[in-house]
Parts: sequence; structure tokens; C-alpha cells
Amino acid sequence: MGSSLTFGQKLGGGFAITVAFAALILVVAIYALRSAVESKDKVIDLNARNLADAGQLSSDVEGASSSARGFLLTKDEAYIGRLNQRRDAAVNDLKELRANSNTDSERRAVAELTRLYAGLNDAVDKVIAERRTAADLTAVVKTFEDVVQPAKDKISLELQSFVADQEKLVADGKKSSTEAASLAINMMIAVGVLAVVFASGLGFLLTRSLGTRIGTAVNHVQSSSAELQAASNQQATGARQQSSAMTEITTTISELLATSKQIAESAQRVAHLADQASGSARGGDGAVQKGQEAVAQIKRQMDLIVNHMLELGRRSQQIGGIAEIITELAEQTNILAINATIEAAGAGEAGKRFGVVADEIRKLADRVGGSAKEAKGLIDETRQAVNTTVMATEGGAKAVEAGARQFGDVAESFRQIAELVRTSNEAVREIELSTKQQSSAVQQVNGAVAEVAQSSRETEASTTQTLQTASQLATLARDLAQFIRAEKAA
Amino acid sequence: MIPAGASLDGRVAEMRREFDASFARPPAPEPPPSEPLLRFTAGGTRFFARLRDLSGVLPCAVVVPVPGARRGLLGLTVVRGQILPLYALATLLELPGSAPAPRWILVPAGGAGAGLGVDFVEGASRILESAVLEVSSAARRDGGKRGLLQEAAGSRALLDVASVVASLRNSKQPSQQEG
Repeated sequence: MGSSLTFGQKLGGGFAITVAFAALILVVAIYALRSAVESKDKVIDLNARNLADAGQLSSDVEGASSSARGFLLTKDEAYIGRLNQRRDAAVNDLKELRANSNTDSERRAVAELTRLYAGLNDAVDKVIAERRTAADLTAVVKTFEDVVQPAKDKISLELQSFVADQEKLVADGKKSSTEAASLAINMMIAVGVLAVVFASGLGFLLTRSLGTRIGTAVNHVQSSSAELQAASNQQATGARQQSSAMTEITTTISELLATSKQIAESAQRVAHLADQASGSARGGDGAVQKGQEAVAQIKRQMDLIVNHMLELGRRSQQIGGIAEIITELAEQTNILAINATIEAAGAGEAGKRFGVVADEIRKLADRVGGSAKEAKGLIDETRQAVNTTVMATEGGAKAVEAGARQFGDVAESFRQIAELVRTSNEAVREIELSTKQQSSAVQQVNGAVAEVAQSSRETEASTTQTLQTASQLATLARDLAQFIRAEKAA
Repeated sequence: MIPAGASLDGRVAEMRREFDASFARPPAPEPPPSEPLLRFTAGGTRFFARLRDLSGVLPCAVVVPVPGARRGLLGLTVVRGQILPLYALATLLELPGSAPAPRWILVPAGGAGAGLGVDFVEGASRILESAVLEVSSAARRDGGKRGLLQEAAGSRALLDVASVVASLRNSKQPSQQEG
């Protein structure tokens, strides 16, 4: 048996051959039984019936002969009726024999019996007719002895010969049936022995192949069970870790979901604030434009103030020049008064009154000089203040100009801010929508993670079950291996 | 007295009122004996000088340097039609620091034949004789100081113009004898 065939194919092939042997045995048995039955039927149905019909015909012939003798003796017509009944039965018996004849010899024998029986009937009818007419019984007896009795003996001989042939045919049929049954028994014995031998060989081969294969498979199952146990342990550990990780992920996703909702709410508030900021930016743009106009007006006023202050500075400078002249005049007057005092002192008593006047002039000159100095100081202060004011005003004008430019920049910035706020508003609305979608997605993820966590727990449980199954499988493999080794040893 | 913080119009009005009132005031009683003094600055140091020691105070207009001039001689100048040598008073008094160009000329009385250049003439004041504090003779010789006057801003030396002129004459005589 080829090693490339599977064990199922081998087992199926073996059973098919065994079934073929059984079918062959059945066919042989059926054939033998049918042959025996046919031989028996032939013996029983034909030859035995022919024997019975021959016996019945002999009886009917003897009955008819007896009825004829009774009429001949008594001349009673009742015997004629009986005679006719026997004759009818004999005719029926001949018909049966004719119908059951299969061979030529049988058909010739039946035709001879029919012919002899007709001759017998003619002889009997002749004797009966003679008995009715003739008064001498002796002549009738003599006629009977001479005519009827020989015809009757011929029929008896023919019947005996027929019966002997039929008995010979029955014996032949029995023998043939016995031979057929013996042949069938012998064939069945041969086929049965062959089937037993084949089944034993097939069983030995299948057992050896099955043992080898099961041993190999058991070894594989043992190694696979060990690997499956290790893998199940790792898978169980991984499943537990995955389950705990899924729990943490679920918690994190719940927090993420809450955060997403907060972000969505914040985005809504930001969108509202962005709308307000956009309106404020538009209002601020108008205010800035008004402020820009006001700054331009202030700049014009500042220019006018600068011009006036410069004019005031020039006038103050002129006043300062005049004050300097006054101061110089006062100094010169003072010096003149000093010199007058000196001259008066040099003049002695005559210059005393002149000295008083000169002294008064000197005092007046001192006061004028002091006042002129004060005036000059005030003028200087005024000029300094004017200069400071002019510088401050110019600085203010520059500041106003810069402010105007800044206002322009602010206006542009406001427009940019309004545009940015509008863009930000759109972005915030997109963020709000995205955050809502994200929240929905996070909810879906949360559900999916919960399902994964449930799957992880189920995986952990199934892994535990797998581990138990692997252990049971390993135990079963060891038991099977021990069983196979025990079977081989046996 | 004019308040320091008064406005300009107020000051002018006050000055006018005092000026007018000065004519209405009765003659003052005889003041105690006082001495008119000139207040000036030389070499950054404030001095007094008796007006009676001076014959005039004049602005310094033109000074012509003299080649090979002695120490302190700034040059020649014209005072009232007379050519006079002009000396730097700060240099003569050996005051520390560099003396700026004099703006005023003090002309000593008594035909001293020289002018003293000073920086700035502040004015003239009358000072009681009793207010003058005597200084030591050594200080009088070295600095030409005759005394000190105590002011609100500190002390101011009273210049002895005669001694300064005398020192100039004493310093001229050897050169004249040599000449």
C-alpha cells in the first residue's frame, strides 16, 4: 500500500476491498442457492409431479379396468358411470403429463401412453359392447383376456418405464442440486478464506501504519501542546497587559472626551468673543479714523503754536537785547555815579551834596541794573521756556505727526485685526466643528476601545481556557502515546 | 522791598512807587560816619576798595601789549587822554589761578601813573568804619590788605590801594636806577 495515500484513503480502500469480498461471497452464495433451488424445483415441480401423475394415471387405469370388470361381471350400468369418470381422470392425467414434459423422451413416452390408453379404451368398449349383446360370459371373459388385458399390461409396462425414467431424473436432479450446493459452499469457503486473509493483512498494515502515524502525530501534538501552552501563557500575559492597557486607554479617552467637550465649549465662547472682537475692531477702525482726523487738527494747531512760540522767542530775544542795553546803561550809570562820588570826595566839602546826589544816582543805577538783571533773567527764563516750549511743541508736533502715522498704522492694524479676527472667527468655527467631530470620533473610539477591552478580557478568558485545553491535550497526548506503546508492546 | 516771587508788572509798579516815594521822603537824619567802598572782583577774589583811594573807575577799552614787560604788566592804555601802564591786580597780589583779561581799570588817586585791571566791578557801598576788621601786618604786607569786611556771603578783603601803588613804585625804582 503506497505511503502517499492518506490513512482515510487506506482505511476506505481496505473497507472497499472487504466489502467487495463480501459482495463476491454474496454473489457466489446467491448463485449457488439459485442453482440448488432450480435443481430442487426441477425435481419437485416436474419430475415429482410427473411421478405423481404417472401414479394417478396408473390408478385411474386400474380403476377404469376395475369398473369395466364390474360391469362385465354384473352388467350394472353404474360401473359404466364410474368407468367414464376414471376415463376422464385418466385423460386429465395424460394432459398433465403432456404439459409437464420437457424432454423429447418424455414427450414420446406420453404420446405412447396416450396411444396405448386409446387402444385400451377401444378394447374395453369392445368388450362392454360384447357383454351387452352376448349372452355367453365366457366368450366375454376370453375377449377380455385376449384384448383388454394385453393392452392394460402394455400401459402398465409403459408407465413403469416412464416412472423409472422420472425416478432416474429425480435422482439426477438431486445429485445436480447437491453438486451445485457443494460448489457454492466451496466457493464461499474459498472467498471467505481469501477475505479473512486479506482483512487480516489489511488490518495488520492499517494498524502498523496507524500506530506509526498516530505516534508521529502524538509527538507532534505533544510538542504542539507544549508550544501552545507557552504561547497561551504569553498570550494570557499579553491579554492581561492589553486588558489593563485598554482600561488605562479607556480612562484616558474618557478624559480626552471631557477635554474635547471643554475645547468645544471654549471654541464656542471664543467664537462669540471673536464676533464681539470683530465688531469692536470695526468700531475701533471708525474711532481710529476720527482720531486720525483729530490728530491732523492737533498737528495744525501745534504748527500754529510753534509759529507763535517762535515769534514769542524772537520778541523775547529783542526784549533781552533791550534789557542788556538797559543793564549796560545801568552799569555805565553806576560807574559814572562811582566816578561822580570819587570826584565829589575829591572836591571836599563842596562836593559833598554832589556826592549825595551821585550816591543816589548810583543806588538808582544799582537798582536799575538789578532790575535789568532780573528782567534779563526773566527774559532768559522766558526765552528758555519758549525754547523749551518750542522744542516741546516741535517734539509734540513730531509726536503728533508720528501719532498720525501711528494712527494710520493703527487703522491699518485695526483693518488687519478685523481681517485676522474674521479669519480667526472662521478658524474658531472650524475648530469648533472639528472639535465636535473629534468629540464624536472620540466617543466612537471610546466605544470601540470598550469593545476592545471587553474582547481583551474575553481573549484573556479564552486564553486561560486555551491553556487548560492545551494542558488537557498534552495529558491526552501522553496517554495516547502510552496507549500506542502499550499496544505495540502487546 | 520787592518780593522775590512777585510778577513783573508788580515789580515795576513797586519800583515806580519806591522811586516816587523817595522824593516824598523827608531828608534822612545824619547817618553815622561811613566810608564809600567799591566792590569788585580780581582773580576770582572779591575785594573792597575805598573810593577816596581812587581817582576813577573806567572800562578797559584798548590795551597795547609791551614787549618784554615785567610780570603783571598787561600793556599800555589810555585813561582820560593820558597813557598809563595797566597792571593785572590779581597778578600783583599773586592770587592763585589764571586771571582773565580785565574789563575794568581802577585808577589810583594821587597821580600814581598806573592803572589796575580788575575782572568785574560790582558796585559801590557805604560801609561803617567799625565794620572793618583789622588784619595782621604780615597779611597787610603780603596781600596789600588793610582789613576784612564780614558779609552775608563771607568775608571780603579791603584792598590797600596805596600800598599796591607803593609796591609798584618800589619795584620801578631799581629798574630806573639801572636805567
